[in-house]
Amino acid sequence: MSRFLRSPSLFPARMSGEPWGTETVVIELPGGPFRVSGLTDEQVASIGDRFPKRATAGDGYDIAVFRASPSDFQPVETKGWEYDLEIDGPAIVGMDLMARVEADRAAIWTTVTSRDAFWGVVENVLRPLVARRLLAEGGLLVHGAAAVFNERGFLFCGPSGAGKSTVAGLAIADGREVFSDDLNAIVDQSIVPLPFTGDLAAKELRSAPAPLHTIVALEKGSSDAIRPLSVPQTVSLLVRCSPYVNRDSALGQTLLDRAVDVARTARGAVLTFRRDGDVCPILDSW
Amino acid sequence: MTIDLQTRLALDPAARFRRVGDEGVVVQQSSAEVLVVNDTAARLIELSNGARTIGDCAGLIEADFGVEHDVIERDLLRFAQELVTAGVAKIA
Repeated sequence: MSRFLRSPSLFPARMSGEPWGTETVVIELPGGPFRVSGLTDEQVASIGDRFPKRATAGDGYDIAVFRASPSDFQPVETKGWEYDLEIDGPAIVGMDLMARVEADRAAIWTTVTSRDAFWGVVENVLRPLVARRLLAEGGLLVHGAAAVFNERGFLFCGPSGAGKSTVAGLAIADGREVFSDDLNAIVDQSIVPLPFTGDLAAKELRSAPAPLHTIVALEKGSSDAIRPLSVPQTVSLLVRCSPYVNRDSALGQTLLDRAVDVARTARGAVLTFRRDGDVCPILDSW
Repeated sequence: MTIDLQTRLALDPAARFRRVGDEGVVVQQSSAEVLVVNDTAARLIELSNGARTIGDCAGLIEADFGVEHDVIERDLLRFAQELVTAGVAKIA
């Protein structure tokens, strides 16, 4: 963890520290709710800018936020750099961020308080946390974009550069409802909204779940076409696109079994598309 | 490394396997790589418990599939090499 921390050996061993403030909010997300405490008013406002909040406080998975010293962190040159968290068991480390994530609670140590940046710190902890908790609760977090065609949810999976945002953009341009273009949740065979977006703004997203109809592998080409993908290949796609948990050996068999369950109840397809193509009629009739 | 009919294979401890219909899916968790394998390779993985040789597996699979022994042996040696190269199986 030397990329972000000056002294990795000083990573907190216990979930204790000095809170930034006295405020608490409850974030409503699949895998949650998440009860975040130790906040300042500005940090509360920042969370409200990004995540759906519960109006009244209540129970949830506890996340305590504590102060960290700027001297704990290495300066990072971010020009031309793709941000990638360091995750080692319960420990998560990133820019101005340390977190310890246990089965029943988590703690974040950060230097960040500003409204425009604090939600990013929280999201960097929530993403792997939601992945683990969703898997434990019968769902799945998938690296993919999603959109609705004829009230049927299509999940477009793939790594960075596969074309997820492009397909989401084509759907928006055609007036279709879209979910996140980066991470989406599958719960009870439906695509459930998440605010973990890539290029899209949260206000552009559909807010209601949609039944999962097809899991789609993306393939750039010179024409628009769709063809079936076998169940085993769909399982492979889902596992490869299940971030955070697909490298956790303790979760491997659960992930594989979940991917089989999902792939057996949805259709699988490969969508070949052009950057300026028109994939919507193809998906409408699939 | 040489793989022959006396080689004993076992699934790598960091790999997970699941049969899906007539095929199998193997996940190597240290790299998040995933392989989809055909029926014969899936059966090889299921039979490879670190005690059976590839030759033993060939005998059992020949009975299951009704394919010529030489063909099964040749296919299993090729699959075994691919599984070991991919890091999802190890020589016991």
